[in-house]
Amino acid sequence: MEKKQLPLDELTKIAADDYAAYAFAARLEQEGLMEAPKNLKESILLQSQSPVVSAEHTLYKTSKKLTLFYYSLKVSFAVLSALFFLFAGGFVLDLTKASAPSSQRTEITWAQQLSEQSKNAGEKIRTFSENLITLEVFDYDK
Amino acid sequence: MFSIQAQEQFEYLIDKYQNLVFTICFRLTGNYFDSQDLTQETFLSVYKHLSRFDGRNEKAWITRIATNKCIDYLKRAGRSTYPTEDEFFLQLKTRGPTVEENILEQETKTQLLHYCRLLKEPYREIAILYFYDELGFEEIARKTGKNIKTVQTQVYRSKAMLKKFYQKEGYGHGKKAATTG
Repeated sequence: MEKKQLPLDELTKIAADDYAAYAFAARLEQEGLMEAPKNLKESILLQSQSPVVSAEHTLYKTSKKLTLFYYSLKVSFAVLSALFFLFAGGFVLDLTKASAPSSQRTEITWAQQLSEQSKNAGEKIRTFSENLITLEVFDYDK
Repeated sequence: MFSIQAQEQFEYLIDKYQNLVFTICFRLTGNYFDSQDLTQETFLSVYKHLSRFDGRNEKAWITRIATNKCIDYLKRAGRSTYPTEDEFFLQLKTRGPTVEENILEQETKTQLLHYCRLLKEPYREIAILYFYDELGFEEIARKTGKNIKTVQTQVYRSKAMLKKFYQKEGYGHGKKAATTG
C-alpha cells in the first residue's frame, strides 16, 4: 500500500476548526483507536500537581476583570517606573548639590525640581523631533 | 490545588479521551515516546484552560489541542508533511480496529520490549515494568522495594535512553511506524 502524506494546511485546518477536528476524531474512532499506556493517566495527574502547572491553572481561572486589573497594575507600574527614571537623574544631581557647602546650596523645592526636569525632558524631545523632521525633509527633497 | 469537582472533571476527560489523543499523537508523529509526551502536554493544556472552556464540543476542543501540539512538534523536527496510514481521510473501509492496526500495535510493543532489554540494570527492569507492562510508579515501587522517587527518576532516565535508541534506528517522526501491510 502506498503511504499518503497529510499536508500541513490540512492539519492546520483541523487544529483551527471545530467541525474539521470533530470529523477527524470521529474517523479515527471508526478506524479503531490505539490504547494509551495504562500508567499515562497517573503520569498526567502527577504533572498537573506540580507548582508551575497549578499556578498557571489558577492564573487562567482568574476572571476577566481581575485579569484586566492585574495587567492594568503592571502597565501602571511600568509607566511610573519610566517616569521615575526619567526624573531620577535630576534628583541625583540635586543630591550632590545638597552635599556641597551650605553657602553654595540654594533652596529648591520639589515642585521646582520636577518642573525643571520636565522642561529639560521636553526640550530634548522637541530637539529630537525637529532633527527627525529636518532629516526626513532633506532626505525626501533629495 | 483545584476543587474536587474540577479534579473529577479532569480525570473524567483523561479517561474518556486519552486513547483518542494518544492515537492522534502516534499517527502524526510515529514515535511511541514522543506520543506519550505529547499526550501529557495535551492534557496539561486542557487542565490549564479548563475554566475557560465553553463546554460546547469537548471532543473537538481536545482534538484541536492535540493536533496543535503535534504540529508544533513536527515543525520543530523540520517536517512539512506528516505520514499517515494509506487513505486515511478518503475512505473508511472497515469499522473497528483493522488487522493492520493490531499488527502495528503488536509491532510497537515488540520493538519496545527489544529496546528495554538493551538497557543496563537497574534501568532495564524499570523500563520493562513501566513501558512494557505499563505499571504505575507505586506498583513498581512496591514490586521492586525501591523508593517511589527513585522509581520516577529511573523511569525518566530510561525513557531518555530509549528515545535515543529509537532515534538511532529511525523510529522518530513516523519513518517506520506506519509501514504495515
